[in-house]
Amino acid sequence: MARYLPSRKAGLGLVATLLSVGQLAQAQAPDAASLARELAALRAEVAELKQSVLERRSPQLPNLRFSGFVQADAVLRHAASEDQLDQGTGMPLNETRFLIRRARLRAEATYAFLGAAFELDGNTTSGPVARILGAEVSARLAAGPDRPPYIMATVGLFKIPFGREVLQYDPDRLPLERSSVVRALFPGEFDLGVQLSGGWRPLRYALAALNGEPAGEVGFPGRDPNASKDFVGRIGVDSRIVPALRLAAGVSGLYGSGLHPGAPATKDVLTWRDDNDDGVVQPSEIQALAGSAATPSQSFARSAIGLDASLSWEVPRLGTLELCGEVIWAVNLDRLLWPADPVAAGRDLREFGWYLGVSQELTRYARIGLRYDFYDPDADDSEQRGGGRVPLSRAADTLAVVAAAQYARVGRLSIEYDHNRNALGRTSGGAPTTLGRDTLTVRAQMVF
Amino acid sequence: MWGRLRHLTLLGCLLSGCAADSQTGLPALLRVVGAQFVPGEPVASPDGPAVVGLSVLQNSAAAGELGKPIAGTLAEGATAAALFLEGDLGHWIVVAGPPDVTAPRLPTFAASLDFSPSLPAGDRRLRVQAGDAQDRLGPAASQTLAILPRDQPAGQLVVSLAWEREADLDLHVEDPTGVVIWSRQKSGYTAPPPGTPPDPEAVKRAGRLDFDSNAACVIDGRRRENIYWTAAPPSGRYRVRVDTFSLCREAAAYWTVEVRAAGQLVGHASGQSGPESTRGTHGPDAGVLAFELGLP
Repeated sequence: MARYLPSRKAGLGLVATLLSVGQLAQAQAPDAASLARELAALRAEVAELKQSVLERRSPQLPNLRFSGFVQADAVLRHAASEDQLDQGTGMPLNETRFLIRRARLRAEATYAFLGAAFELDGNTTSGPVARILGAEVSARLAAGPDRPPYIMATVGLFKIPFGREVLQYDPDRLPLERSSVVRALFPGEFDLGVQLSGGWRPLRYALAALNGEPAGEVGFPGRDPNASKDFVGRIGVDSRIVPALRLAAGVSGLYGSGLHPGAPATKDVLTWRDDNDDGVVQPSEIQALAGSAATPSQSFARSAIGLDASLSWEVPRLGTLELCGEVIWAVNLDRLLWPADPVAAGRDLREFGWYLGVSQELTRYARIGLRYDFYDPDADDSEQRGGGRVPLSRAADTLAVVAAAQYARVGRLSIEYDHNRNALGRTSGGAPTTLGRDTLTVRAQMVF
Repeated sequence: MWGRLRHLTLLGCLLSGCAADSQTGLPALLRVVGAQFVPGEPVASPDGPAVVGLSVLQNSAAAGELGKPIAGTLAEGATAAALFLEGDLGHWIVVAGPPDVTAPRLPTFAASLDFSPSLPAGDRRLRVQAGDAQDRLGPAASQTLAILPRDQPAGQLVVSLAWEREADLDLHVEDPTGVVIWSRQKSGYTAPPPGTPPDPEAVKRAGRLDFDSNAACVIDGRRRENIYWTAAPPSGRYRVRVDTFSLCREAAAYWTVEVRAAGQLVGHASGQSGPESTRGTHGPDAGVLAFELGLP
């Protein structure tokens, strides 16, 4: 019994020590926030270490990464579809069809502070087409993983840094296509030039000098018919206000110049116009048209300013709720839907457009949303109707309603109904009215 | 009941867009450049404005004719004119223009009419109605148009070749005397031997080719050739051939041959020209035999 006494004393001492240490430890226990910070720092350190290990394994080769996506559409209904050919272009007017809207393959390479990207696009919108969509070389001052570089200089063919929808990654957008105003002012989204971009904390910025003829433009896509460049920029913020709420907003601007094409010289021609509709050539109906010297091309100024914002909220049990919107005022910038040519029109053409969208994830497997967009290509248009000249609006708006089933955010099957209102038709009284343009489209999409 | 109907109408509007028809109107017999096509016949309203005057230069039009001018004056308050060719698929809305100086209160309209190549010959009424800002169409003013067959000459015997696609096809007809009428010999008249006085009537009696369409791939859009005899044609056998001179980058061309004697259809043939049809020489005896005809 006595031989156990020291042990008992020792045991009691140990318990007392443990209790005191425990109390001390309790008094110095870190809170959850500091642990989370420590964890994030450790993760960042691990990521940097992984990156450095990878770079050391292949010191002579850049890291190469491939990505892409495919969007295959079935247009089930299109109000303007007709089994005829366009008399001007000879292209089919039928729009009720299957098509590959976008099939993209992007290769990105990074090596130390250098980077390059090359993106190919294939589609069958107007017949099978494969083209270079993006190709850029960049140098960056990195700020760390999952953060934009402090500064990055890019040269090549890249997305125009204006607003929200132009820069948005196509598979991320729930409506199948961009809004009318964005498609009209920035067709094709990609342009050639040089850009400085980056971010610091929530601040984001981009400034670019571009050719001003985007890839989807109707005049000189991918070329630059005048020496002056378009200057485009965006400054904004992108921040998580609280962990479940993210706000991104910005102001964009563009200033540049477009080109009114001149006309080539013409030769003398003899014409016959059957003025009295009798089918017989008479001397008074024959007209000699003297040839004309070429008319020169002329540059004109164009500009735009835009505001954009999006708010994302992680709704518990449901998923992300996103509200987004953008408004753009522009002058002489329409390059697709109603190409602006102030020299031909004799006045500036003022464009205005906006959109507002909302989408909600319904668990991981579904997403619904709608977007309303409005675009007026010419705020000052007018026409002769009856005895007087009346204002004419060519404005159009579209309400897009979308429902999608998704799997692992990789595959998505969407169905969208677009209800379009425009001023392209005429009533019995000659007033502008909507010309049927409603569409119902199903899209299958996979990102890889 | 009315409420349900209204809801159904609203739903239909949402689905259809409550919109003007976006069809081009190409299948219509009458087409109006720059105007809105509306399927169906225009309906007149008793309160609609009237057409004050209508001006069509000629009361006839040929099938396939392009750009026939029409103009008119509308009653005060009219903002548009509806044009309808009776029996057609739909009508066309033309926006009214400014008044003429002679009638400063009356709006006018002007349009350019195109007629379908498939428009059957015969009389057909063209109706014009004025429309106002309330979309009411007034009473119709009409003009009867004599629709003439397309590019078909009158004659005792007419052999016609017509084809689809802009290729260069040639009509060859060998008459009973052995003379071949074609693009290099446009008349069946043969000059008499030296020393014999020419017969002025023989020139008139001979068959002739009216036009060498799409010659050497200079596209004229006509795609029709006729060989015809205005006087009684000689008795005997006639051989009709179709020579495919060039497909002018088209993949194929579909052709039809019609033979009319005294206005009555007496023969018909059709065929297809492919790349192999252009081979060989393109002399008077070239081409495929489309038709053989014996005349008493």
